[in-house]
Amino acid sequence: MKREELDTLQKKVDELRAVLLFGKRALPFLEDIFEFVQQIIPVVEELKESVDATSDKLPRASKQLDKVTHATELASTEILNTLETMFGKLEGMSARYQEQQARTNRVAETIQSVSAAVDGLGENGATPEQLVRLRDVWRNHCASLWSPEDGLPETVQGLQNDCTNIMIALQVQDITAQQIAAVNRLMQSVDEGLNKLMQHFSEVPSNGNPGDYNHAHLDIQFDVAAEYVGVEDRQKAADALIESTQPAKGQGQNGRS
Amino acid sequence: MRFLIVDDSLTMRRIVVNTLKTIGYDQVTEAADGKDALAKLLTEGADFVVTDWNMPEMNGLELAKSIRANPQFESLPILMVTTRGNKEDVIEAMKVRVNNYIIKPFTPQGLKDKIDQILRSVESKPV
Repeated sequence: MKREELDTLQKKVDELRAVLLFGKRALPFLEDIFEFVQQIIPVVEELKESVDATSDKLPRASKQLDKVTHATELASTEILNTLETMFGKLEGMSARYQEQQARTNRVAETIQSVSAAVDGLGENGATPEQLVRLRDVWRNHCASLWSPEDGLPETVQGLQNDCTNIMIALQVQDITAQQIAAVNRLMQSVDEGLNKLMQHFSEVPSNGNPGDYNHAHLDIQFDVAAEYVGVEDRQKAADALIESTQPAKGQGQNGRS
Repeated sequence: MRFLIVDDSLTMRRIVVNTLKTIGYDQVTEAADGKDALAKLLTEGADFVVTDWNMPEMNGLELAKSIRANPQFESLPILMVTTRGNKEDVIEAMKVRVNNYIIKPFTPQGLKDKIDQILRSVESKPV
């Protein structure tokens, strides 16, 4: 073996020793990494579950808010439509009131004319001219008392119906309150999930004690399916169901379970 | 006829009270939840209960159960007024023996029809 070959061999052995030395030093570090990865796997799985839950809940919250928007828009439109009708009716009533005022003024003028005509009558009777004048004044007076059918009772009834329609539309407040309470519950649940998750990354809970969150407390029991639309169909279905559960006529309510 | 209106929403209570007035019933007592309603029923009495379902403390279903559990109120008319319109909800309400069920938003005519229907069925009930 030549000298150069021996030197090369020596060099390779030194390199091999260096690699083995590095491996010996690196092994504990690799074990630490392995342990860390083992520890982090459950956290990552929980993170995945939280993200899955969040990605499910947030679209539901979004849909609920969309229902709120839809319900308020529908109710607002109904109220505005009714108010526009009411404005029309009130304008009509205002015009009729002005006509009535003008008629009252004409009556007052007639009374003055009749009074003047009566005052002009002589003590010993009236002249034919005076009688003709009195007759004309009286006819005008009668004509001024006549008024066409003004439809006031119908208009008032219409306005009362309009007020009722507004009252019906205002039930939207109860429905949207329940929809918003449902959104609030979803947001709380997402927040609680994220807070629990954050506790894995921090020794100090981000929001006080675990499970102790700073949410606004809404004391509203809600129906997650509360809706402002499609009530008639649901009512018909409910009525049919109630009808089917009623005892046969003449049996009273005692047969109910 | 004395009505007891039970709803946690003040707006809804006002709407029901005003609706009852428009259809001719003006003797009304209000309660904000089932517990409040039971207390008022025992102290003030009522001839007809109109109750919401979703309420804090005691909901309308529990209220109906409590009313029916008291022999004094076994045949007291109960109308459930609620947003809950699923088949299961209606069945559950009928199981606790509410007399009828109306879904919000309701019309005055709808409410009147239900009240009339209940009163007719109560009157025709054999003693």
